[in-house]
Amino acid sequence: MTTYLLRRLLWVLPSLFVVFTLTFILVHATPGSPWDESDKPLPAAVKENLARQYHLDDPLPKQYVDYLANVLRGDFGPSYRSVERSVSEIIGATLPVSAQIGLASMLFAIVVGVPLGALAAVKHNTWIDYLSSLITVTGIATPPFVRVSLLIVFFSLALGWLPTGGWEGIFDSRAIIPVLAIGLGPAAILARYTRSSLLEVHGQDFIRTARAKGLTETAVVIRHAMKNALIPVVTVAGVTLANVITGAFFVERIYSVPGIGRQFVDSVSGRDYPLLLGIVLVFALLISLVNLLVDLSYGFLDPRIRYR
Amino acid sequence: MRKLVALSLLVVLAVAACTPSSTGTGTGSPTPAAAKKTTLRLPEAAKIVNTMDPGISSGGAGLEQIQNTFEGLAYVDQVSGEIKPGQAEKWTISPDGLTYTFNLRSGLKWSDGQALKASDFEYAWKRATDPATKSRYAQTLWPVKGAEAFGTGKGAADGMAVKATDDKTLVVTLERPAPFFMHLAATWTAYPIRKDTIDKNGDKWTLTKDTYISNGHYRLVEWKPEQSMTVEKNPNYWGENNGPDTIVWTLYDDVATKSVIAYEAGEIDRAVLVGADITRAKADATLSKEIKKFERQGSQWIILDTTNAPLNNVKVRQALSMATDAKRLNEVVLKDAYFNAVSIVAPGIPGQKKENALGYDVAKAKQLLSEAGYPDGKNFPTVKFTFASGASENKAIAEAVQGIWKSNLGIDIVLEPMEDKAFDNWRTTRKDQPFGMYVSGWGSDYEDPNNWYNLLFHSKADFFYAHWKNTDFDNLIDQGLKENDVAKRKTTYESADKIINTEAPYITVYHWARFDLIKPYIEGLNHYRVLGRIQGYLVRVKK
Repeated sequence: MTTYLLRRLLWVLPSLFVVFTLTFILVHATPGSPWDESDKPLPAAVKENLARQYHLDDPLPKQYVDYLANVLRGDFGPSYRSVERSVSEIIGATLPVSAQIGLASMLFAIVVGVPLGALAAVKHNTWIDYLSSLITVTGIATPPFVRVSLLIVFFSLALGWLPTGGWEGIFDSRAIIPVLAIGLGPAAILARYTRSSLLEVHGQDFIRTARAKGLTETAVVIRHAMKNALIPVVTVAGVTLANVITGAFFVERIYSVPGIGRQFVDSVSGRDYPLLLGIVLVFALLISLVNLLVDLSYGFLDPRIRYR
Repeated sequence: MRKLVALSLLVVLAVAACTPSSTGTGTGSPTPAAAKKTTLRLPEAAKIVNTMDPGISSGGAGLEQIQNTFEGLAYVDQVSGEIKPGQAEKWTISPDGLTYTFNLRSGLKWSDGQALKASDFEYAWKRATDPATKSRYAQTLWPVKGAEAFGTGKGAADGMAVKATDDKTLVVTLERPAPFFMHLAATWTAYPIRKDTIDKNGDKWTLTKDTYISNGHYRLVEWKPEQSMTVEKNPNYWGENNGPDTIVWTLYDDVATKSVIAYEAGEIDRAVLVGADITRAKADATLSKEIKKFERQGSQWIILDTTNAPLNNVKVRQALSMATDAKRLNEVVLKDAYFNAVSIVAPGIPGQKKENALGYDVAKAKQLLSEAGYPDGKNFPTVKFTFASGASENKAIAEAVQGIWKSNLGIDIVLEPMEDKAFDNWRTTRKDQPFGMYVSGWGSDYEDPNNWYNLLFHSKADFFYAHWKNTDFDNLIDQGLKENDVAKRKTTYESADKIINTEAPYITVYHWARFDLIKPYIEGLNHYRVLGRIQGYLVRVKK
C-alpha cells in the first residue's frame, strides 16, 4: 500500500513536467500580446518596453528555462495583467473560492443525486422512475451557464429573493445560485449512475441471499446493494469533483464569483502566460491527487481490490 | 455510508440555515443605520480594474476610480471641457512656450493628512517615465525635456526637466513648444504619488486603504479584486465635495450584460447599455424613461492599406468612401447605437470640419470607380476585410459594408474574421506587411488636434498602419503642433483635415457614443465626451 502510494505520487512529477512543457509551447504558439486592449491599441514604444521589462523579448528556450527554474523555486512570477498581485497570490485568493463552491456543489450532488438514483432503481419502471429520469436528463442536458442564467432570472429578478451576483463566503445567500447551478449537473450524473449500477447489482445472487435471510427491503438496498453499486459512482464522482473544484468558468463569470475558473479563461484570452501556466500546473496537480484518492477509495468499498 | 448520510444532512442544514435570514440585502448596499449618508452604486468592468496605479494605467477600466481619488495640477472640467486649476492654484508659461511654472495651493494634504509637496509631482512624473515602472501610458510625459530619452533607456531620471524648486513650485521644461501640454498635465499619468508608500509597499500599494494614499475628492475604503471597490469622501481634499458620501463600484466580467440585470434588480444606480439591450430598453415602459445617450469623441473606421492595389489608387478609396452609407450603417444596421459618421476626425476637435468630408454620393462613387478602371466593379481585385470577431458588432459592420458596396459599386470583398488577440497581433504586424482593410477606432485622450492628426495620421506615426503619406499634410500638422495662436492653429489643422478627408485612407463607420440607464433619483451623472468617466463630486443622490 505504501509503495503503491509512493510510486503514484512520484509519477505526478513527470506528468506535471509534460503538462508544463506542452502548455508553454502552446501558449507561445498562439498569436497575440498580453497588452492590447480591444478599443485602443497601445503605442509601439510602450509595448516594446513592456516586453523588455517582462523578458518577453528573450529567446523562447531561455524564457522556458528561466520560468521553469522559478517554478521549481515555487515562484510563478508576476501576472502580466494584474500589476499588484503575483500569480501565486491570485491562485491563493481564487482557488479556495472555487474549491468551496465545488465541494458544496458536490455534496449537494451526492445528497440529491444518490438518493434520487436509488429511489428510481428501487421503484424501477414506476412513475417515480420516470420522473427521476426526466429530472436527470434535464440536468445533464442543460449546461451550467443556462442553469445559472435561469436561476438568476427566477430567484433574483422574478422573486427578488437572492442577489444577482457576488460572493461573501460559502455561508452567504450569494453562494446558493452558483452551488445549485454547478451541483445540478453532477447530481443528475450521479443519479443516472446510481440507478443503473444499483439495478445491475439487484439481480445478483447475494441480494437474493440477503432477501432470503428475511432482511427488510431497506436493509437489503442500503447495506448490501448500495455498497457494491457505489464503485462506478465513486469513479464518476471523483472525476466530477476534480472538475467542479477547479471552477466553473461560466457560472463564476455570470454570477461574478471571484473564483479560479474565471481567472483561467481570462488568462487564456488575455495571454497572461505566467498566470495561465501557474493555473494549469495547479489544476494538473489537483486532478492527479483526486484520481489517486478515487483509486484508494475503491479499496474501502471493495475488499477484493488490493494495491501493489 | 452512514458517514455519507450524516455529511449530506449537514450540508442540507447549512444551506437551509443561510437561506432565509440573509436574503434581500443586495450587493454592497449600505445598512439602514447609515440612512442619512448617500451612496452612489456604479458598475465597472472587473477584468481591467487591475491597476489603480495612476502612473501605470493606460486609462481603461480603473480610470474612473483613479480620477475620483486623485487630482493633478489641473483638471478638465467635465461639463465645459476647459482646463481648470486643480492642485496648482495657477501656472505661468514662458514666452517661448517651453517652460511651465506651477504654483501649488497652500495647505494641500494627502488623504492621510500629510502635506502634499511639489516634489511629490516630480517623483511621480519621473517614476511614470522610468521604463522599470512598466507604465502603459508613459509616452504622455515624453514632451518634457529628457523624458523620451529616459523612457527609452537612453537617458537618466536626472536628465528629465521636471523640478520642484520648493515645496510649492514645480518647474517643467519642454523639449519643444506644445500648446496642448496643459491637457497632458491634467492626465492621470501626471498625478502626484507618495514615494514612501511605493518604497514600502511596491506594486501592492494600491490594494489597501492604508497604502493607497491619494489627494482627490475621494479616498479608498476597500478594494476586493474582481468584486467591488468602495471609496468615501476625502476629508483632506482642499475643495468642496457635495457628491455622495460613498461610491461603490461592483465589478463585472461582462459589464454590459450584467449591469443591466443588476440595475433591474435595484442593486446599482447606473447600467451600461449596448446592442440588443438598447432596443429592448427603448421598448420597455419604465426603462425607456431612464435611457440616456451621451456623445463620446471617437471615430470607428475601416482602415485601408494605401500602398496596395487597388487601394493605392485614391479614386478607388474615394469611391469606397462615397459609396458607404454611414447613415444606414448606424441607424439601421447598428440600431442607432452610435452617432452617424461625419468625417474622419470626430466632431469637436479643432481642425475637424464637416464640409471637408466626402459624404455619401453613389453616382459620384460609381464614376470614380469607373475612372479608376473598374466600371461597375468589373475586374475589381479581391480585397480582404479583416475584423476581430469577439464583438458581434464588427461582424454586422463587415457584412453590411460588403452588401452596401456590392449593391452600390458592384464589387466583392472577402471577409476575414479573427479571434480578438490574434487580430491584435495581426494588426501589430501590419506595420510592414500588406493588408486590404480592417476595422478599428480611436477616442480622444484629450481634446486637441495633436491627439488625432499628429499622433495617428502623421506619416512618421502611422498609428493604424494605413501607410498613407502626404507631405503637405505632414508639413501642415507639424506647423499646427507648434503654433501657439489658437485661431491660426485651428485653420492650419483645417487645411490638413481637408487633405486627409479627400485622400480617404480611412472610411468612417460611425462616431462613438455611450448609452446608460440611470435611476431617476440620480442627478448630475454625466459622461463628458472625452474619456467620460463619472466624477462622483458632480453627482447628487436624491433618495
